[in-house]
Amino acid sequence: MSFPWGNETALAVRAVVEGGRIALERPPMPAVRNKGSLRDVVTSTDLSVDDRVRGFLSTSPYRILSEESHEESNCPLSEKSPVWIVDPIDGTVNYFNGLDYYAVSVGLCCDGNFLLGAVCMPGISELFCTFGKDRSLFNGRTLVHVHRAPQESLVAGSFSGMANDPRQRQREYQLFGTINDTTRGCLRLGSAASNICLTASNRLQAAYGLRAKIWDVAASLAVAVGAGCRAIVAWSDNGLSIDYIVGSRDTVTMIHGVCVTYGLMEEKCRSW
Amino acid sequence: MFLNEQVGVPADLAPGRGQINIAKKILIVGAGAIGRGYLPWLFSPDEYDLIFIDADPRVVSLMRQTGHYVTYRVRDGGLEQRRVRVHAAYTPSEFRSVDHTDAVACFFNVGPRNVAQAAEHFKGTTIPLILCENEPVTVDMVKGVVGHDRVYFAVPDVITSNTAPDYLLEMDPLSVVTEDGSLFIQEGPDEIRGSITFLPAKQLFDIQWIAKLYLHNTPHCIAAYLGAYVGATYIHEAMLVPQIDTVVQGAFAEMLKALKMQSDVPHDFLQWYADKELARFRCKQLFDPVSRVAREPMRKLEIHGRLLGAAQKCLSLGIVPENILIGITAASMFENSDDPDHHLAFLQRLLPRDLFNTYILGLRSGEPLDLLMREQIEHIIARLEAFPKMNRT
Repeated sequence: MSFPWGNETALAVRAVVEGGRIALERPPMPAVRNKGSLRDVVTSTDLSVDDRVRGFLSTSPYRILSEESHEESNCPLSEKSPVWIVDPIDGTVNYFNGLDYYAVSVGLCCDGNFLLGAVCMPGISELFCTFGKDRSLFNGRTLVHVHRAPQESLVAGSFSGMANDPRQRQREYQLFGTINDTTRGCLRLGSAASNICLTASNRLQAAYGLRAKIWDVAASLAVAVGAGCRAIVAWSDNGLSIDYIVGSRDTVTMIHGVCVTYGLMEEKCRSW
Repeated sequence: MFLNEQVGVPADLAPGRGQINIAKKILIVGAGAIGRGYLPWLFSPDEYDLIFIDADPRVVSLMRQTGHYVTYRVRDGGLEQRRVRVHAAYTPSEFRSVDHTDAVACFFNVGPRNVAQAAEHFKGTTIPLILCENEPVTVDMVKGVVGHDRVYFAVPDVITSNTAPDYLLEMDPLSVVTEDGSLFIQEGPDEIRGSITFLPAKQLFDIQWIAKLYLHNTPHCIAAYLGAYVGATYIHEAMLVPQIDTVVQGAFAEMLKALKMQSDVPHDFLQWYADKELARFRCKQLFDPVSRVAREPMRKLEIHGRLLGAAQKCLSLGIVPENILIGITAASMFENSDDPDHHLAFLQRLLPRDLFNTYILGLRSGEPLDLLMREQIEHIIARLEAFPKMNRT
């Protein structure tokens, strides 16, 4: 393909739509088990999608980090070569409950940079991908984020998985409340990748998450940046976790300021 | 201050100092095919000063250098010419609408995707805006941007090239060729006088727009996408390929049948309209580029638009849109690295047909058009592959 990372983009897009096809063939009651918390679950479909996606990506020379098949002790993100980052279903609880707000994501990252991303939301027939360095597509149309002011912004947030840290939790609730009261509202929708893609495509104006897993957001952040969103991120946990705020310029800046005030993020972060 | 001083129009073309310039101003945003080639024919040069705003600095610069250009009109098998005086020309970044609040009208001819951005320049003014954009939804979009209701839809019933044959371009690089058409404008902007027909909204949308959408836009872009497929440069060249002419005629027949079944527009008007358009597509004087008509295929493939919308209309009436499907397929395969939608070819090659239909064309999986396209696609591609290709050196 005649654009940067064209062959890899093609692989990622093909992988997410074929993964999405499997997700749509939902069994009436997929087998489910809890992984760590009440909200961290995996279904048999996650595993089937993971197999399918990794099957496509295995034709490329890069290593694969997938939510359902990684070994945290052997994190390839610390290496200086590109790594595929896969989330077979982001929003598994929604999926299991029959809600169509979930996404299949494949991103390619290298040294803290989001090289490309493809995200499929099969339940609502939406496909997002990067196309070269500074461009993203939404169902084949060029995606341009329209920046809005905080008071015109609808925001979606994601809580960290740190339910066992009451202080952290309290500050996250404060953050959620502050954003809710200073914008058109703050939602918790249950799929970070979907939140970010809806932000890129102007149905939300910002999305944020704290201590998100990198597979939740790697692909969608690439899409959002390609659409012209502002993004502020901070990595932790050897690159496996990420704090992110993405969307309209002023709204992202405002949310970041609140995060800093509550001690949830540092002032100095990586930004696009 | 006289505006022509700002843009360096030669003194012999400028209204003299001390004289009173009584001409009224018309602003033309987008100096391409319609803006540069067709609109100047509609207004008396003695009565109106034409001011152009265009994003292409080359066009603006050429207009300023000479202060005029020539547009040609096809008539009686030959070309007649008009020397258009450019009162002023600006790029969007130079243009200040507050300097032109006395304009009697502003015509937009920038393409539906650029309308909202162009309208930003007119916030705070009440100049009547006339949109020749082939897309009725742009009217409400622009009203929202400018904050007033003096925004009107217009249907230019004409084909205008955005270029001219080489021998004319050598004499004037801004030359364009247009046909002799008609401009229909929604009633309202009564400050302007010219070769224009003002129509009540219902008549404009239910007759002229429907005819334009399905009996011009649909077969015209099919001719363009098939032309691109065989390597034609101009629409009239594409129409010389018998297989393309046959498909285009077939698309006309499908749409005529559908419109006659569904609408109460007089059938003889529809037939006259289709015959007129077919003759225009074949017109050898026009030099209408395939790349112009085929540009932005994603827009042409919008779900309710000239291709998918036309096919859906036929299907809903029990007509199998065999020829329109060929056009849809050719549009999906359109590849031009200079086109804003050049990514479409990448997606078309990448995605299996059912997923392309769902994610790119926006069809629901299993709906009749989706099933028909999936069933027909191999046959259509085999048919396209048999079309003779034009070898260009």
